[in-house]
Amino acid sequence: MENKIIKDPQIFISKEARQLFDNLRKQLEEFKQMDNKDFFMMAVMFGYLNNKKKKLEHSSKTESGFTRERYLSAEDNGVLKAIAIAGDKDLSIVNDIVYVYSIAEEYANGGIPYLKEFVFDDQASFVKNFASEIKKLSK
Amino acid sequence: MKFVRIKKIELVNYRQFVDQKVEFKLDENKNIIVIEGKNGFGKSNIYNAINWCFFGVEEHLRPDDRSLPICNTKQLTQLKPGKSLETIVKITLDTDEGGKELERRVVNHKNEDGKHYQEESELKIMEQIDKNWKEASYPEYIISRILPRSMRHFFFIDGEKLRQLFENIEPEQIKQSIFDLSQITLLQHAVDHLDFFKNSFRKTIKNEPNLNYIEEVMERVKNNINYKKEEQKKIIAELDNAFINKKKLEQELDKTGNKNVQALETERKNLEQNILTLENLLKEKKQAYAQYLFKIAPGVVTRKAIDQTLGIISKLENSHELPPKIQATFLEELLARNECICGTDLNKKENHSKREKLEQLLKKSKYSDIVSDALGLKYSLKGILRDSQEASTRITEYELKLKDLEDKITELQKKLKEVITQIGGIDSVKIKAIHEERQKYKEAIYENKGRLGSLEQSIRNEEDNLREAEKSYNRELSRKNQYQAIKDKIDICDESIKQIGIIKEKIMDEIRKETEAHVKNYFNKLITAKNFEDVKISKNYDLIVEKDGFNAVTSLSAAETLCMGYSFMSALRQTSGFLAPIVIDTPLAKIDIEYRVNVADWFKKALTNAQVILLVTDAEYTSGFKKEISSSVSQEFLLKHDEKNGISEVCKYGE
Repeated sequence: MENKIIKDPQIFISKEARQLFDNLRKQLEEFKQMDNKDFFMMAVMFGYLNNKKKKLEHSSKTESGFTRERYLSAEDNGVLKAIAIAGDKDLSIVNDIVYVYSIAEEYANGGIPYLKEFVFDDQASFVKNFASEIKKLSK
Repeated sequence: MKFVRIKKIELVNYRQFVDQKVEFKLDENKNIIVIEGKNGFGKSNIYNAINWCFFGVEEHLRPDDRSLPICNTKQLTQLKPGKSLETIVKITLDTDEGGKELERRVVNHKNEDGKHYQEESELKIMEQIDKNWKEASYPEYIISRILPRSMRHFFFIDGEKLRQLFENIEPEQIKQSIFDLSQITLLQHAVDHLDFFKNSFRKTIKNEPNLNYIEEVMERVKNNINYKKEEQKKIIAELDNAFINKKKLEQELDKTGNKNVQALETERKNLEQNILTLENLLKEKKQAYAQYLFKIAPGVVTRKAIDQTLGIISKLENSHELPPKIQATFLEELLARNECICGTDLNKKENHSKREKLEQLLKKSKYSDIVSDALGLKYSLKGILRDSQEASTRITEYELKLKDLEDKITELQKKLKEVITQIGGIDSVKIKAIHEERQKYKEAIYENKGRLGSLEQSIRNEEDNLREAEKSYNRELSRKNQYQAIKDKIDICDESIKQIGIIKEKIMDEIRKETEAHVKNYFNKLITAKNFEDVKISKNYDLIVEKDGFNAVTSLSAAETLCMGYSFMSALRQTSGFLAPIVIDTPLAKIDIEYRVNVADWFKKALTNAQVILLVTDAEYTSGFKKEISSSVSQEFLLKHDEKNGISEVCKYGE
């Protein structure tokens, strides 16, 4: 597979997702210290958990540059690569980071409504509910 | 200027001083001047006079003096109708650029009906150029070169106010000080000008309903922001006021001499401090817990994908495709050269099977280029899996710790409530009244903190709205070709504002870091018990004094708080590079004996390059403190007061 090398590629999200993240940052104490990349990973998780991928419409009106490769940790990249590789059942895409991110963007886009529901369903107990979900999954 | 020292202060009809001249000895090795006076003898009015002469404001008026005119009231009473009385404060300075005389005067007139009114004060500065004295054309400019108005609080200090300020210092106040110090008001002016130009460009566009509408929205939002910022200032002032009044009432309760009240008050203070400490700890632990969750969650949630990926890697490893036995590039080269490594010509028909074998090997080597990435991923995913497996245990640990802290806080709050009820139940009308008033201020503080929080949030929201409206305006403008020239101009303004913002932030950050280093250095010198781990000014301008892993800034004792105030002020002063004289009123405000030696030592050592005028009460100027600073004191003065005539006088010691 021939890869186009892009230095520090950008990751996009929908404008709706950006709006949601901006609101969350304002409304929840726990989100105030969160970086954009943490929000992105959160949306990806909710997309993956609900097996929901949604293509981003590529236009300046609908999408917004949100974070970049350099802000993601090795663990974040590992998780995103695992999602793409497991999905395609092909290891050769491991160093095609642009492709890996495009899959992640689709999951993030698909995960937004679920994340929204999860947070706003019981805003005050978000951390508690989130922790209990993680505990359940880690067993 | 390299140095600025006060040589002489002259007061004419200023407050309780009728005709006063005080000359200071300028001794480079002894930079401290002490003026001692009992409360009410005019100590603070000397501090006020210096402030007034420089900046036209009296910073520390006693409540009794607030309603009185600035002139000597006795002289004013004796003044005949139709006559005037002049008040003058004149300060002679010795600087490396020659002498300077600062003179501020104000006239009070008495009307025929006996009522009086005061004119606006006027500042005149005479400058010594060579041997001649010349009046400066722009006195305010000279003042700003000696000491900019915004930085006066770092040089003219009221010890008691400084301590009170640092008891409840808000990040906004730290930020403002750093902003003042950064001297970036000119940059702010540039932003204001650019904003003004942007508005004027927009206003040239008429009869464009969409654009005009968005412009109106922007104006409305800007007005909202300005209005809310004014509200914010008012709430901060109310909060300060409530803190001061609450403190005063607590001192009054202490003074009642009722042993029961004193014991309960001590318990209340300890409980409040402990609750605060635990609440800070809880906040930090909650943040750490949330961060842990956000870090661990992706690995836990995507475990299936991780397992599958590791399975794919493992399968390829078992089939020896990863890492491949032969590098793909090598095989590609052989096939391109049509010659095997053994020299076999791969072009020949009889060697066709050998070519096929090489091609099969090439297929199996398709992972050659990704070996290091794949192996890196394998180890990274194994690590994520390990962490994920521990997640459940770690989460339970966090939850237990948080619950334990919450329980402790609830228990202390219950005890506090009981103590407060007991204080309120004491059978004394006076104590009850003080207690009830104190509770009102406590509620006011709580309420104002909430109001401040939601107001700050609302300002941030309005600022977001403004940015959105500006974006909409620019989009709308881009659609109309006839306004391209205006759009270009607005774009230039926007880009300039953005760049200035970046520069401003960089400067502020540099100053913040420099100030942080100085504060840390001074505070460590001033505090005897080295039980604080670190002193920081965070990026959000929170002042942090680390103790046992949490911020103990609100739990500092009165003395430690004042030392923190001095450390901060000295740090700002040092970072500013201005060497104006330092005037401190009540420098030892409520400082414990154990710290007095350190503070004295600090006055001597940390402020060697500046003239220091200490305005002390007799209770502050104890023999111990006196002895400690004596080697740096060039002169001592004593304030004498004639109660009958309400006149004070500054005399040299022993006169």
